[in-house]
Amino acid sequence: MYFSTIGELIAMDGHGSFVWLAYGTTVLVLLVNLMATRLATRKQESALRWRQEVAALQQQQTNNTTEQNDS
Amino acid sequence: MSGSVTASLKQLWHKLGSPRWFYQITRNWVRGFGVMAAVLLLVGCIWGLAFAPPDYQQGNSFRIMYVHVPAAMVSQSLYLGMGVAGFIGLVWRMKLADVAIAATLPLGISLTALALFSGSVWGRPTWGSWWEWDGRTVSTLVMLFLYLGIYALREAIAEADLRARAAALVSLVGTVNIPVIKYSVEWWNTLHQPASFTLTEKPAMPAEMWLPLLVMVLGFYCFAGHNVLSRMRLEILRREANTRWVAELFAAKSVPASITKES
Amino acid sequence: MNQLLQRELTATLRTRGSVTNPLGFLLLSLLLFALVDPGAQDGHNSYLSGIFWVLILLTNLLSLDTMFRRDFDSGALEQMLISAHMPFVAVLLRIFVHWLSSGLLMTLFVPLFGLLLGLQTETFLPIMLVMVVGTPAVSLLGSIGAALTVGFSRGGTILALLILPLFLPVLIFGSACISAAISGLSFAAPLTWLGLFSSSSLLLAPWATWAALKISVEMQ
Repeated sequence: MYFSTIGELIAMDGHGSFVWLAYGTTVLVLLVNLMATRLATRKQESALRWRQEVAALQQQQTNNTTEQNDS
Repeated sequence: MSGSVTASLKQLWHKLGSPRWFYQITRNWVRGFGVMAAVLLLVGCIWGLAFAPPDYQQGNSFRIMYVHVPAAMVSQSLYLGMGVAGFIGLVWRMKLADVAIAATLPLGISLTALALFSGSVWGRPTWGSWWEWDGRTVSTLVMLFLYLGIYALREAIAEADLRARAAALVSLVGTVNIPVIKYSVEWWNTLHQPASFTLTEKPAMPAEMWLPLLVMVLGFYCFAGHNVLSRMRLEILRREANTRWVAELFAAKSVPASITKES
Repeated sequence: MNQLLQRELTATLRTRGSVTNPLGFLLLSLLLFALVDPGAQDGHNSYLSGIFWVLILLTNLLSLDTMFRRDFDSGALEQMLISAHMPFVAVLLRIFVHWLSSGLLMTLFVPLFGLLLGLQTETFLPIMLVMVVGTPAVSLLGSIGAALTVGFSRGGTILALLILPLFLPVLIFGSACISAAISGLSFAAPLTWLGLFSSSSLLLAPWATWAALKISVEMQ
Protein backbone atom coordinates (compact mmCIF):
# COMPACT_ATOMS: atom_id res chain seq x y z
CA MET A 1 0.00 0.00 0.00
CA TYR A 2 1.44 3.39 -0.89
CA PHE A 3 0.14 5.07 2.26
CA SER A 4 1.50 3.65 5.51
CA THR A 5 -1.47 4.64 7.75
CA ILE A 6 -5.16 5.14 7.16
CA GLY A 7 -4.76 8.72 8.36
CA GLU A 8 -2.35 9.36 5.51
CA LEU A 9 -4.77 7.73 3.10
CA ILE A 10 -7.45 10.19 4.16
CA ALA A 11 -5.18 13.22 4.04
CA MET A 12 -3.31 12.23 0.87
CA ASP A 13 -0.78 14.94 1.79
CA GLY A 14 -3.19 17.77 1.28
CA HIS A 15 -5.10 16.62 -1.82
CA GLY A 16 -7.39 14.34 0.11
CA SER A 17 -10.41 16.67 0.12
CA PHE A 18 -10.40 16.95 -3.67
CA VAL A 19 -9.88 13.25 -4.29
CA TRP A 20 -12.55 12.14 -1.82
CA LEU A 21 -14.95 14.80 -3.13
CA ALA A 22 -14.56 13.45 -6.67
CA TYR A 23 -14.89 9.81 -5.58
CA GLY A 24 -17.81 10.67 -3.33
CA THR A 25 -19.78 12.27 -6.15
CA THR A 26 -18.94 9.36 -8.43
CA VAL A 27 -20.28 6.84 -5.94
CA LEU A 28 -23.33 9.06 -5.44
CA VAL A 29 -24.03 9.33 -9.18
CA LEU A 30 -23.60 5.61 -9.79
CA LEU A 31 -25.76 4.71 -6.79
CA VAL A 32 -28.52 7.14 -7.73
CA ASN A 33 -28.64 5.69 -11.24
CA LEU A 34 -28.63 2.16 -9.88
CA MET A 35 -31.30 2.74 -7.23
CA ALA A 36 -33.55 4.84 -9.49
CA THR A 37 -33.66 2.05 -12.06
CA ARG A 38 -34.14 -0.69 -9.52
CA LEU A 39 -36.95 1.11 -7.67
CA ALA A 40 -38.76 2.00 -10.87
CA THR A 41 -38.50 -1.59 -12.10
CA ARG A 42 -39.83 -2.94 -8.84
CA LYS A 43 -42.71 -0.45 -8.94
CA GLN A 44 -43.58 -1.36 -12.52
CA GLU A 45 -43.38 -5.11 -11.83
CA SER A 46 -45.63 -4.88 -8.78
CA ALA A 47 -48.11 -2.79 -10.80
CA LEU A 48 -48.17 -5.47 -13.48
CA ARG A 49 -48.51 -8.24 -10.92
CA TRP A 50 -51.40 -6.37 -9.27
CA ARG A 51 -53.06 -5.95 -12.63
CA GLN A 52 -52.88 -9.71 -13.20
CA GLU A 53 -54.29 -10.47 -9.75
CA VAL A 54 -57.25 -8.17 -10.42
CA ALA A 55 -57.79 -9.86 -13.77
CA ALA A 56 -57.59 -13.31 -12.17
CA LEU A 57 -59.99 -12.18 -9.45
CA GLN A 58 -62.55 -10.98 -11.94
CA GLN A 59 -62.14 -14.22 -13.82
CA GLN A 60 -62.82 -16.00 -10.54
CA GLN A 61 -66.00 -14.01 -9.93
CA THR A 62 -67.38 -14.51 -13.42
CA ASN A 63 -66.83 -18.29 -12.96
CA ASN A 64 -68.67 -18.24 -9.60
CA THR A 65 -71.62 -16.27 -10.97
CA THR A 66 -71.92 -18.54 -14.04
CA GLU A 67 -71.90 -21.57 -11.67
CA GLN A 68 -74.71 -20.03 -9.56
CA ASN A 69 -76.82 -19.37 -12.69
CA ASP A 70 -76.39 -23.01 -13.87
CA SER A 71 -77.20 -24.59 -10.48
CA MET B 1 -19.78 -21.22 -43.47
CA SER B 2 -20.27 -17.51 -44.30
CA GLY B 3 -23.76 -18.36 -45.57
CA SER B 4 -24.81 -19.57 -42.13
CA VAL B 5 -23.18 -16.59 -40.40
CA THR B 6 -25.09 -14.07 -42.49
CA ALA B 7 -28.24 -16.17 -42.02
CA SER B 8 -27.90 -16.12 -38.24
CA LEU B 9 -27.06 -12.40 -38.34
CA LYS B 10 -30.18 -11.73 -40.38
CA GLN B 11 -32.16 -13.82 -37.94
CA LEU B 12 -30.65 -11.89 -35.06
CA TRP B 13 -31.64 -8.69 -36.82
CA HIS B 14 -35.27 -9.77 -37.12
CA LYS B 15 -35.30 -10.95 -33.54
CA LEU B 16 -34.06 -7.52 -32.44
CA GLY B 17 -37.35 -6.25 -33.72
CA SER B 18 -39.25 -8.02 -30.96
CA PRO B 19 -38.91 -6.51 -27.49
CA ARG B 20 -40.01 -9.81 -25.95
CA TRP B 21 -36.99 -11.68 -27.24
CA PHE B 22 -34.75 -8.80 -26.11
CA TYR B 23 -36.35 -8.84 -22.64
CA GLN B 24 -35.65 -12.52 -22.15
CA ILE B 25 -32.16 -12.55 -23.62
CA THR B 26 -30.83 -9.63 -21.61
CA ARG B 27 -31.93 -11.11 -18.29
CA ASN B 28 -28.61 -12.78 -17.57
CA TRP B 29 -26.64 -10.11 -19.49
CA VAL B 30 -27.82 -7.56 -16.95
CA ARG B 31 -26.80 -9.77 -14.06
CA GLY B 32 -23.44 -10.53 -15.62
CA PHE B 33 -22.66 -6.87 -16.25
CA GLY B 34 -23.78 -6.00 -12.74
CA VAL B 35 -21.45 -8.49 -11.07
CA MET B 36 -18.51 -7.58 -13.30
CA ALA B 37 -19.08 -3.87 -12.73
CA ALA B 38 -19.16 -4.33 -8.95
CA VAL B 39 -15.95 -6.35 -8.91
CA LEU B 40 -14.05 -4.14 -11.37
CA LEU B 41 -15.09 -0.86 -9.75
CA LEU B 42 -14.22 -2.11 -6.29
CA VAL B 43 -10.81 -3.41 -7.33
CA GLY B 44 -10.12 -0.34 -9.46
CA CYS B 45 -11.02 2.10 -6.70
CA ILE B 46 -8.91 0.42 -4.06
CA TRP B 47 -6.01 -0.03 -6.46
CA GLY B 48 -6.18 3.53 -7.78
CA LEU B 49 -6.74 5.16 -4.40
CA ALA B 50 -4.41 3.26 -2.17
CA PHE B 51 -1.81 1.39 -4.16
CA ALA B 52 -1.00 3.46 -7.25
CA PRO B 53 2.05 5.73 -6.78
CA PRO B 54 1.31 9.47 -6.81
CA ASP B 55 2.19 11.56 -9.85
CA TYR B 56 5.58 13.29 -9.39
CA GLN B 57 4.12 16.64 -10.51
CA GLN B 58 0.56 16.60 -9.22
CA GLY B 59 0.96 14.40 -6.19
CA ASN B 60 -2.16 12.51 -5.12
CA SER B 61 -4.75 14.69 -6.83
CA PHE B 62 -4.08 12.75 -10.07
CA ARG B 63 -6.09 9.87 -8.50
CA ILE B 64 -9.19 11.73 -9.63
CA MET B 65 -8.17 10.62 -13.13
CA TYR B 66 -9.40 7.11 -12.26
CA VAL B 67 -12.88 8.53 -12.02
CA HIS B 68 -12.77 11.45 -14.44
CA VAL B 69 -11.42 9.64 -17.50
CA PRO B 70 -13.80 6.65 -17.40
CA ALA B 71 -16.80 8.95 -16.88
CA ALA B 72 -15.81 11.08 -19.88
CA MET B 73 -15.10 8.06 -22.08
CA VAL B 74 -18.31 6.22 -21.23
CA SER B 75 -20.44 9.37 -21.65
CA GLN B 76 -19.00 9.85 -25.13
CA SER B 77 -19.53 6.23 -26.12
CA LEU B 78 -23.10 6.42 -24.78
CA TYR B 79 -23.72 9.44 -26.98
CA LEU B 80 -22.25 7.57 -29.94
CA GLY B 81 -24.49 4.63 -29.05
CA MET B 82 -27.51 6.92 -29.09
CA GLY B 83 -26.44 8.16 -32.53
CA VAL B 84 -26.29 4.60 -33.82
CA ALA B 85 -29.66 3.82 -32.21
CA GLY B 86 -31.01 6.99 -33.79
CA PHE B 87 -29.83 5.89 -37.22
CA ILE B 88 -31.37 2.43 -36.82
CA GLY B 89 -34.52 3.97 -35.43
CA LEU B 90 -34.89 6.35 -38.36
CA VAL B 91 -34.03 3.93 -41.15
CA TRP B 92 -35.64 0.70 -39.94
CA ARG B 93 -38.19 2.22 -37.52
CA MET B 94 -37.27 -0.29 -34.80
CA LYS B 95 -39.08 0.13 -31.48
CA LEU B 96 -35.99 -1.01 -29.59
CA ALA B 97 -33.98 1.91 -30.98
CA ASP B 98 -36.14 4.46 -29.19
CA VAL B 99 -36.14 2.30 -26.08
CA ALA B 100 -32.32 2.39 -26.24
CA ILE B 101 -32.23 6.19 -26.56
CA ALA B 102 -34.70 6.67 -23.71
CA ALA B 103 -32.66 4.27 -21.56
CA THR B 104 -29.26 5.79 -22.30
CA LEU B 105 -30.22 9.42 -21.71
CA PRO B 106 -30.27 9.58 -17.90
CA LEU B 107 -26.98 7.74 -17.46
CA GLY B 108 -25.38 9.75 -20.31
CA ILE B 109 -26.37 13.06 -18.77
CA SER B 110 -25.26 12.10 -15.26
CA LEU B 111 -21.90 10.71 -16.45
CA THR B 112 -21.18 13.80 -18.56
CA ALA B 113 -22.00 16.01 -15.58
CA LEU B 114 -19.82 13.77 -13.41
CA ALA B 115 -16.95 14.04 -15.91
CA LEU B 116 -17.22 17.85 -15.90
CA PHE B 117 -17.46 18.02 -12.11
CA SER B 118 -14.59 15.64 -11.44
CA GLY B 119 -12.54 17.43 -14.09
CA SER B 120 -12.97 20.75 -12.37
CA VAL B 121 -12.29 19.24 -8.95
CA TRP B 122 -9.11 17.78 -10.42
CA GLY B 123 -8.24 21.09 -12.08
CA ARG B 124 -8.41 22.97 -8.80
CA PRO B 125 -5.19 21.63 -7.19
CA THR B 126 -3.43 21.00 -10.54
CA TRP B 127 -4.10 24.15 -12.54
CA GLY B 128 -5.33 26.26 -9.68
CA SER B 129 -8.71 27.00 -11.28
CA TRP B 130 -12.11 25.29 -11.17
CA TRP B 131 -12.70 25.69 -14.89
CA GLU B 132 -10.16 25.60 -17.70
CA TRP B 133 -11.19 26.63 -21.21
CA ASP B 134 -9.40 23.57 -22.48
CA GLY B 135 -10.57 21.98 -25.72
CA ARG B 136 -11.82 18.84 -24.02
CA THR B 137 -13.69 20.53 -21.21
CA VAL B 138 -15.60 22.79 -23.59
CA SER B 139 -16.53 19.97 -25.97
CA THR B 140 -17.73 17.87 -23.01
CA LEU B 141 -19.86 20.81 -21.90
CA VAL B 142 -21.28 21.12 -25.42
CA MET B 143 -22.02 17.40 -25.39
CA LEU B 144 -23.94 17.92 -22.16
CA PHE B 145 -26.10 20.51 -23.93
CA LEU B 146 -26.62 18.15 -26.85
CA TYR B 147 -27.79 15.51 -24.34
CA LEU B 148 -30.12 18.01 -22.68
CA GLY B 149 -31.44 19.04 -26.09
CA ILE B 150 -32.52 15.48 -26.80
CA TYR B 151 -33.99 15.17 -23.33
CA ALA B 152 -35.98 18.41 -23.73
CA LEU B 153 -37.16 17.35 -27.17
CA ARG B 154 -38.42 14.03 -25.83
CA GLU B 155 -40.28 15.81 -23.06
CA ALA B 156 -41.89 18.21 -25.52
CA ILE B 157 -43.46 15.66 -27.86
CA ALA B 158 -46.34 13.63 -26.48
CA GLU B 159 -47.04 11.23 -29.31
CA ALA B 160 -44.73 8.22 -28.92
CA ASP B 161 -43.88 7.50 -32.53
CA LEU B 162 -43.11 11.13 -33.40
CA ARG B 163 -41.07 11.53 -30.23
CA ALA B 164 -39.07 8.47 -31.19
CA ARG B 165 -38.32 9.68 -34.70
CA ALA B 166 -37.54 13.25 -33.61
CA ALA B 167 -35.19 12.07 -30.87
CA ALA B 168 -33.55 9.66 -33.32
CA LEU B 169 -32.95 12.46 -35.81
CA VAL B 170 -31.52 14.85 -33.22
CA SER B 171 -29.19 12.24 -31.74
CA LEU B 172 -28.00 11.36 -35.24
CA VAL B 173 -27.39 15.02 -36.14
CA GLY B 174 -25.69 15.51 -32.79
CA THR B 175 -23.37 12.57 -33.28
CA VAL B 176 -22.30 13.88 -36.68
CA ASN B 177 -21.46 17.21 -35.04
CA ILE B 178 -19.55 15.90 -32.01
CA PRO B 179 -16.23 15.47 -33.86
CA VAL B 180 -16.70 18.80 -35.67
CA ILE B 181 -17.32 20.65 -32.43
CA LYS B 182 -14.48 18.79 -30.70
CA TYR B 183 -12.01 19.68 -33.44
CA SER B 184 -13.03 23.31 -33.75
CA VAL B 185 -12.86 23.76 -29.97
CA GLU B 186 -9.41 22.14 -29.91
CA TRP B 187 -8.30 24.35 -32.82
CA TRP B 188 -9.66 27.48 -31.12
CA ASN B 189 -8.14 26.46 -27.82
CA THR B 190 -4.65 25.80 -29.10
CA LEU B 191 -4.88 29.22 -30.73
CA HIS B 192 -5.28 30.89 -27.35
CA GLN B 193 -3.10 28.94 -24.97
CA PRO B 194 -0.64 26.07 -25.40
CA ALA B 195 -2.27 22.65 -25.07
CA SER B 196 -2.30 22.09 -21.34
CA PHE B 197 -1.54 18.80 -19.55
CA THR B 198 -3.13 16.04 -21.62
CA LEU B 199 -5.15 13.68 -19.46
CA THR B 200 -4.76 10.32 -21.06
CA GLU B 201 -1.28 9.88 -22.51
CA LYS B 202 -1.37 6.20 -21.55
CA PRO B 203 2.07 5.13 -22.78
CA ALA B 204 3.85 7.92 -20.90
CA MET B 205 2.42 6.68 -17.59
CA PRO B 206 4.14 3.79 -15.81
CA ALA B 207 2.19 0.51 -15.85
CA GLU B 208 1.14 0.59 -12.21
CA MET B 209 -0.53 3.94 -12.93
CA TRP B 210 -2.60 3.13 -16.00
CA LEU B 211 -3.49 -0.45 -15.07
CA PRO B 212 -5.98 0.71 -12.43
CA LEU B 213 -7.29 3.15 -15.01
CA LEU B 214 -7.96 0.26 -17.39
CA VAL B 215 -9.78 -1.61 -14.65
CA MET B 216 -11.87 1.45 -13.81
CA VAL B 217 -12.73 2.11 -17.46
CA LEU B 218 -13.88 -1.51 -17.88
CA GLY B 219 -15.80 -1.22 -14.65
CA PHE B 220 -17.58 1.92 -15.86
CA TYR B 221 -18.43 0.27 -19.19
CA CYS B 222 -19.86 -2.76 -17.36
CA PHE B 223 -21.87 -0.47 -15.11
CA ALA B 224 -23.16 1.40 -18.18
CA GLY B 225 -24.08 -1.94 -19.77
CA HIS B 226 -25.91 -3.01 -16.64
CA ASN B 227 -27.71 0.29 -16.17
CA VAL B 228 -28.72 0.86 -19.78
CA LEU B 229 -29.93 -2.70 -20.28
CA SER B 230 -31.97 -2.70 -17.08
CA ARG B 231 -33.48 0.66 -18.04
CA MET B 232 -34.31 -0.75 -21.46
CA ARG B 233 -36.01 -3.73 -19.84
CA LEU B 234 -37.95 -1.36 -17.62
CA GLU B 235 -38.94 0.73 -20.63
CA ILE B 236 -40.08 -2.44 -22.43
CA LEU B 237 -42.23 -3.42 -19.45
CA ARG B 238 -43.80 0.01 -19.54
CA ARG B 239 -44.48 0.02 -23.26
CA GLU B 240 -45.57 -3.60 -23.56
CA ALA B 241 -47.60 -3.54 -20.34
CA ASN B 242 -50.81 -4.72 -21.92
CA THR B 243 -49.39 -7.35 -24.22
CA ARG B 244 -50.11 -11.02 -23.67
CA TRP B 245 -46.50 -12.07 -23.00
CA VAL B 246 -46.14 -9.50 -20.23
CA ALA B 247 -49.47 -10.64 -18.76
CA GLU B 248 -48.20 -14.22 -18.71
CA LEU B 249 -44.91 -13.15 -17.26
CA PHE B 250 -46.63 -11.60 -14.25
CA ALA B 251 -49.65 -13.92 -14.13
CA ALA B 252 -50.80 -14.50 -10.58
CA LYS B 253 -49.60 -18.00 -9.63
CA SER B 254 -52.87 -18.78 -7.84
CA VAL B 255 -55.59 -16.52 -6.63
CA PRO B 256 -55.00 -16.23 -2.85
CA ALA B 257 -57.51 -18.52 -1.11
CA SER B 258 -58.58 -15.80 1.36
CA ILE B 259 -60.09 -13.68 -1.40
CA THR B 260 -62.09 -16.50 -3.01
CA LYS B 261 -63.68 -17.50 0.35
CA GLU B 262 -65.26 -14.10 0.93
CA SER B 263 -66.66 -13.63 -2.62
CA MET C 1 -38.47 25.18 -60.14
CA ASN C 2 -38.34 28.95 -60.53
CA GLN C 3 -42.08 29.31 -59.91
CA LEU C 4 -41.34 27.73 -56.55
CA LEU C 5 -38.62 30.33 -56.07
CA GLN C 6 -41.02 33.05 -57.22
CA ARG C 7 -43.68 31.86 -54.82
CA GLU C 8 -41.23 31.76 -51.92
CA LEU C 9 -39.85 35.21 -52.64
CA THR C 10 -43.26 36.85 -52.92
CA ALA C 11 -44.38 35.05 -49.75
CA THR C 12 -41.41 36.36 -47.80
CA LEU C 13 -41.70 39.85 -49.25
CA ARG C 14 -45.36 39.95 -48.35
CA THR C 15 -44.62 39.16 -44.70
CA ARG C 16 -41.94 41.81 -44.33
CA GLY C 17 -42.31 41.78 -40.59
CA SER C 18 -40.50 38.48 -40.15
CA VAL C 19 -37.62 39.90 -42.17
CA THR C 20 -37.18 43.38 -40.74
CA ASN C 21 -37.83 42.60 -37.09
CA PRO C 22 -34.75 40.43 -36.60
CA LEU C 23 -32.67 43.12 -38.30
CA GLY C 24 -34.07 45.66 -35.91
CA PHE C 25 -33.13 43.38 -33.04
CA LEU C 26 -29.58 43.04 -34.36
CA LEU C 27 -29.18 46.78 -34.80
CA LEU C 28 -30.57 47.50 -31.38
CA SER C 29 -28.43 44.93 -29.55
CA LEU C 30 -25.30 46.15 -31.36
CA LEU C 31 -26.23 49.64 -30.26
CA LEU C 32 -26.51 48.41 -26.68
CA PHE C 33 -23.07 46.86 -26.84
CA ALA C 34 -21.57 49.95 -28.45
CA LEU C 35 -23.00 52.13 -25.68
CA VAL C 36 -22.10 49.87 -22.80
CA ASP C 37 -18.65 48.74 -23.82
CA PRO C 38 -16.26 51.74 -23.98
CA GLY C 39 -13.71 49.72 -26.00
CA ALA C 40 -16.30 49.08 -28.74
CA GLN C 41 -16.36 52.72 -29.83
CA ASP C 42 -12.88 52.69 -31.26
CA GLY C 43 -13.31 49.13 -32.37
CA HIS C 44 -9.98 47.62 -31.39
CA ASN C 45 -10.91 45.40 -28.46
CA SER C 46 -11.06 41.69 -29.12
CA TYR C 47 -14.56 41.05 -27.77
CA LEU C 48 -16.10 42.78 -30.71
CA SER C 49 -15.89 39.90 -33.17
CA GLY C 50 -17.28 37.46 -30.63
CA ILE C 51 -20.20 39.71 -29.72
CA PHE C 52 -20.83 40.43 -33.36
CA TRP C 53 -21.14 36.78 -34.27
CA VAL C 54 -23.13 35.83 -31.20
CA LEU C 55 -25.67 38.50 -32.08
CA ILE C 56 -25.82 37.29 -35.66
CA LEU C 57 -26.55 33.77 -34.41
CA LEU C 58 -29.24 34.97 -32.03
CA THR C 59 -30.89 37.07 -34.73
CA ASN C 60 -30.92 34.08 -37.02
CA LEU C 61 -32.48 32.08 -34.22
CA LEU C 62 -35.34 34.56 -34.09
CA SER C 63 -36.12 34.37 -37.78
CA LEU C 64 -35.64 30.58 -37.83
CA ASP C 65 -38.49 30.10 -35.40
CA THR C 66 -41.00 31.52 -37.87
CA MET C 67 -39.38 30.01 -40.95
CA PHE C 68 -41.78 27.11 -41.42
CA ARG C 69 -44.48 28.40 -39.11
CA ARG C 70 -46.55 30.15 -41.77
CA ASP C 71 -46.64 27.16 -44.13
CA PHE C 72 -47.13 24.75 -41.25
CA ASP C 73 -50.32 26.54 -40.18
CA SER C 74 -51.61 27.02 -43.72
CA GLY C 75 -50.88 23.42 -44.68
CA ALA C 76 -48.66 24.43 -47.58
CA LEU C 77 -45.90 22.46 -45.89
CA GLU C 78 -47.69 19.19 -46.56
CA GLN C 79 -48.20 20.14 -50.19
CA MET C 80 -44.51 20.80 -50.50
CA LEU C 81 -43.61 17.48 -48.92
CA ILE C 82 -45.96 15.48 -51.10
CA SER C 83 -45.71 17.29 -54.37
CA ALA C 84 -41.95 17.81 -54.57
CA HIS C 85 -40.43 15.21 -56.85
CA MET C 86 -37.01 16.31 -55.65
CA PRO C 87 -37.33 16.81 -51.88
CA PHE C 88 -33.72 17.97 -51.55
CA VAL C 89 -34.32 20.86 -53.94
CA ALA C 90 -37.62 21.95 -52.42
CA VAL C 91 -36.14 22.15 -48.92
CA LEU C 92 -32.92 23.73 -50.17
CA LEU C 93 -34.92 26.40 -51.96
CA ARG C 94 -36.87 27.20 -48.82
CA ILE C 95 -33.62 27.49 -46.84
CA PHE C 96 -32.04 29.60 -49.58
CA VAL C 97 -34.90 32.08 -49.47
CA HIS C 98 -34.65 32.20 -45.69
CA TRP C 99 -30.92 32.84 -46.01
CA LEU C 100 -31.58 35.67 -48.45
CA SER C 101 -33.89 37.34 -45.99
CA SER C 102 -31.64 36.85 -42.97
CA GLY C 103 -27.97 36.07 -43.55
CA LEU C 104 -27.49 38.04 -46.72
CA LEU C 105 -29.51 40.97 -45.50
CA MET C 106 -27.34 41.23 -42.38
CA THR C 107 -24.28 41.17 -44.57
CA LEU C 108 -25.55 44.15 -46.52
CA PHE C 109 -25.97 46.05 -43.27
CA VAL C 110 -22.40 45.40 -42.13
CA PRO C 111 -21.18 48.91 -43.11
CA LEU C 112 -23.86 50.40 -40.86
CA PHE C 113 -22.92 48.09 -38.00
CA GLY C 114 -19.25 48.81 -38.64
CA LEU C 115 -19.73 52.55 -38.35
CA LEU C 116 -21.79 52.02 -35.22
CA LEU C 117 -18.96 50.02 -33.66
CA GLY C 118 -16.27 52.39 -34.87
CA LEU C 119 -14.50 49.96 -37.16
CA GLN C 120 -12.20 51.27 -39.86
CA THR C 121 -13.96 51.42 -43.19
CA GLU C 122 -11.51 49.17 -44.99
CA THR C 123 -12.44 46.24 -42.70
CA PHE C 124 -16.08 46.33 -43.87
CA LEU C 125 -15.48 44.37 -47.06
CA PRO C 126 -13.57 41.49 -45.39
CA ILE C 127 -16.25 41.27 -42.71
CA MET C 128 -18.95 41.10 -45.36
CA LEU C 129 -17.02 38.34 -47.11
CA VAL C 130 -16.74 36.39 -43.85
CA MET C 131 -20.46 36.76 -43.25
CA VAL C 132 -21.41 35.67 -46.74
CA VAL C 133 -19.35 32.51 -46.22
CA GLY C 134 -20.51 31.88 -42.66
CA THR C 135 -24.25 32.65 -42.60
CA PRO C 136 -25.36 29.86 -45.00
CA ALA C 137 -24.17 27.29 -42.47
CA VAL C 138 -26.24 29.05 -39.83
CA SER C 139 -29.41 29.00 -41.94
CA LEU C 140 -28.86 25.40 -43.04
CA LEU C 141 -28.17 23.99 -39.58
CA GLY C 142 -30.86 26.17 -38.08
CA SER C 143 -33.43 24.90 -40.54
CA ILE C 144 -33.09 21.40 -39.06
CA GLY C 145 -34.10 22.70 -35.65
CA ALA C 146 -36.78 24.96 -37.11
CA ALA C 147 -38.30 22.04 -38.99
CA LEU C 148 -38.30 19.92 -35.85
CA THR C 149 -39.79 22.45 -33.49
CA VAL C 150 -42.37 23.95 -35.87
CA GLY C 151 -45.02 21.66 -34.42
CA PHE C 152 -44.52 22.76 -30.83
CA SER C 153 -46.62 25.48 -29.32
CA ARG C 154 -43.64 27.28 -27.74
CA GLY C 155 -40.77 25.75 -29.66
CA GLY C 156 -38.41 28.71 -29.37
CA THR C 157 -36.55 27.61 -26.26
CA ILE C 158 -36.08 24.05 -27.47
CA LEU C 159 -34.97 25.34 -30.84
CA ALA C 160 -32.22 27.32 -29.12
CA LEU C 161 -31.18 24.37 -26.97
CA LEU C 162 -31.02 22.08 -30.00
CA ILE C 163 -29.32 24.40 -32.44
CA LEU C 164 -26.89 26.61 -30.52
CA PRO C 165 -24.43 23.77 -29.85
CA LEU C 166 -24.39 23.14 -33.59
CA PHE C 167 -23.56 26.79 -34.26
CA LEU C 168 -20.43 26.57 -32.12
CA PRO C 169 -17.94 25.82 -34.92
CA VAL C 170 -19.35 28.65 -37.05
CA LEU C 171 -19.09 31.01 -34.08
CA ILE C 172 -15.51 30.01 -33.31
CA PHE C 173 -14.17 30.31 -36.81
CA GLY C 174 -16.36 33.30 -37.66
CA SER C 175 -15.12 35.37 -34.76
CA ALA C 176 -11.55 34.24 -35.45
CA CYS C 177 -11.96 35.58 -38.99
CA ILE C 178 -13.41 38.90 -37.92
CA SER C 179 -10.87 39.54 -35.15
CA ALA C 180 -8.13 38.82 -37.71
CA ALA C 181 -9.84 41.09 -40.22
CA ILE C 182 -10.21 43.90 -37.70
CA SER C 183 -6.54 43.78 -36.76
CA GLY C 184 -5.65 43.61 -40.44
CA LEU C 185 -4.15 40.12 -40.36
CA SER C 186 -4.87 37.57 -43.07
CA PHE C 187 -7.90 35.42 -42.15
CA ALA C 188 -7.59 32.84 -44.95
CA ALA C 189 -7.31 29.81 -42.65
CA PRO C 190 -10.43 30.29 -40.51
CA LEU C 191 -12.30 31.43 -43.62
CA THR C 192 -11.61 28.14 -45.38
CA TRP C 193 -12.95 26.31 -42.32
CA LEU C 194 -16.06 28.46 -42.41
CA GLY C 195 -16.46 27.59 -46.06
CA LEU C 196 -16.09 23.92 -45.22
CA PHE C 197 -18.89 24.15 -42.64
CA SER C 198 -21.17 25.97 -45.05
CA SER C 199 -20.59 23.57 -47.93
CA SER C 200 -20.86 20.43 -45.80
CA SER C 201 -24.08 21.62 -44.17
CA LEU C 202 -25.29 22.53 -47.66
CA LEU C 203 -24.92 18.85 -48.55
CA LEU C 204 -26.19 17.26 -45.35
CA ALA C 205 -28.62 19.65 -43.70
CA PRO C 206 -31.47 19.57 -46.27
CA TRP C 207 -31.85 15.81 -45.80
CA ALA C 208 -32.14 16.22 -42.05
CA THR C 209 -34.58 19.12 -42.53
CA TRP C 210 -36.63 17.00 -44.90
CA ALA C 211 -36.80 14.17 -42.36
CA ALA C 212 -37.66 16.66 -39.61
CA LEU C 213 -40.43 18.21 -41.69
CA LYS C 214 -41.95 14.79 -42.35
CA ILE C 215 -42.00 14.22 -38.59
CA SER C 216 -43.46 17.55 -37.57
CA VAL C 217 -46.10 17.57 -40.31
CA GLU C 218 -47.75 14.65 -38.58
CA MET C 219 -47.72 16.60 -35.37
CA GLN C 220 -50.63 18.81 -36.37
